[in-house]
Amino acid sequence: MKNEPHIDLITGYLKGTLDAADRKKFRELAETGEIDTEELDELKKLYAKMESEEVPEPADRMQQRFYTMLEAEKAQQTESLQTSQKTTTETTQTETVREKAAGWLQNFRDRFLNQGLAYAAALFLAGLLIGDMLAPISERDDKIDQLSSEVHQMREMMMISLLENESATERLRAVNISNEIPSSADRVAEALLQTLNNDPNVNVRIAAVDALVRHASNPDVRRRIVDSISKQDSPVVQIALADAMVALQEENAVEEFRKLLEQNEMDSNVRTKLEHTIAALL
Amino acid sequence: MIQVKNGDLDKLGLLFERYNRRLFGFFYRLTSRRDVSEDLVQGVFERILKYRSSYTGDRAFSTWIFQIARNLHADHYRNSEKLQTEDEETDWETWPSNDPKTENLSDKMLDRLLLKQAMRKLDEEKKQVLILSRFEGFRYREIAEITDSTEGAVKVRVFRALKDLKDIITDLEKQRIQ
Repeated sequence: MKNEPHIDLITGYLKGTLDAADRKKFRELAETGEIDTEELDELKKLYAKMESEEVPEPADRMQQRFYTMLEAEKAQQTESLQTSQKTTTETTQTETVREKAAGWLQNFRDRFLNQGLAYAAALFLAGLLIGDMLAPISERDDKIDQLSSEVHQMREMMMISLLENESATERLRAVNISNEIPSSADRVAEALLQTLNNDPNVNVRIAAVDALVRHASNPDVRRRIVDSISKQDSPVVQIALADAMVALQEENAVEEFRKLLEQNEMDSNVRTKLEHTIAALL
Repeated sequence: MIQVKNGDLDKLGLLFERYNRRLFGFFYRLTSRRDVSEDLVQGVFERILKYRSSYTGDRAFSTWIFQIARNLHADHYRNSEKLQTEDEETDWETWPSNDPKTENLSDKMLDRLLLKQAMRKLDEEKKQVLILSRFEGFRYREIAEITDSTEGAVKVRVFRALKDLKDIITDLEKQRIQ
């Protein structure tokens, strides 16, 4: 393209910033025709003509937005300086999670203990809330562990309060939730044991037996499951317990089963079952 | 800006006061839209806040802020649909040459309208360097920093931008006469 080899001179000329030495060079090149001054003059005129297109005033809100943002950032900065060494985002995120969990749980307890609403809806909401809490968090493992444990705690509390529900269906569901909580949760095991020993509904007690198996690695839990055997009067529950004991190969249960057998009022099928169970455990 | 980086956030307010109109003007000349320009200005300062720790002070703040502005505009341009309506419509294609409205306009005003329209037809990169050079008053070396380019390349681009502009204006004039 013509003129481009001398681009420095050209653009200097266009902007009018050539110094004396450059102006001389420019004139020389123009004379030899290496620079097309006609074209350049047109462009120079154009450049000069480029008046600023009228720029309107920005609205006041532009300034407001900026200062709102700045204040928010300053507030966060103060907060993070005051609390811990953690980054600002992590602090606010963890607190939001806890606040949400606490608020939600309170809400849940109020509704449940008062009215017995459909559990499925509440659990679904819980699932959504949990997902929402987990999603934005960074991928650091300890952070995820912390959140997981908070989620489990929530489920625990949920389960425990559900166990007090009037409806057996709800209590049954509560027992089933416990399967989603890590087996190390003592409170869950405790709640299940209480349920096993005290719940008026047979199905709930059976579900509790199954759920408790997951916690059976804890020797205390095992012992208390075994203790529970002789207290059971329902044949179905007794059978469930029998199966569980065999699955756990729990020899200590034998004594308890024998005690049961000594009780005369027993269904013959159950009696047979228990005898087999004893045999399997010895 | 170094002070902002070190935690003195109030100083960003000073920078806002100093640059917000220039940035707004830059965006407005590129987009011809006031609301978009306001959003983009906000975007620039949000980014400055967010990335303040990356400011190294080895270059002028003015080129750094315009580099951010340019990137933001590029993102916006890529994401939004091309059918942005501009604040003022000047439809040269359908403007009849014997329209009484145009007859009353002085030559100078017509020239200005032509120029304005021609600028809008110019491609983005060329438009930007012209704006940065002619209206924002940056030196070519500074424009090179802003556009992540070399001084020589910027000069060539300015030159070609002017030539294109001239050609566009000539075409528009021809259309008007027809």
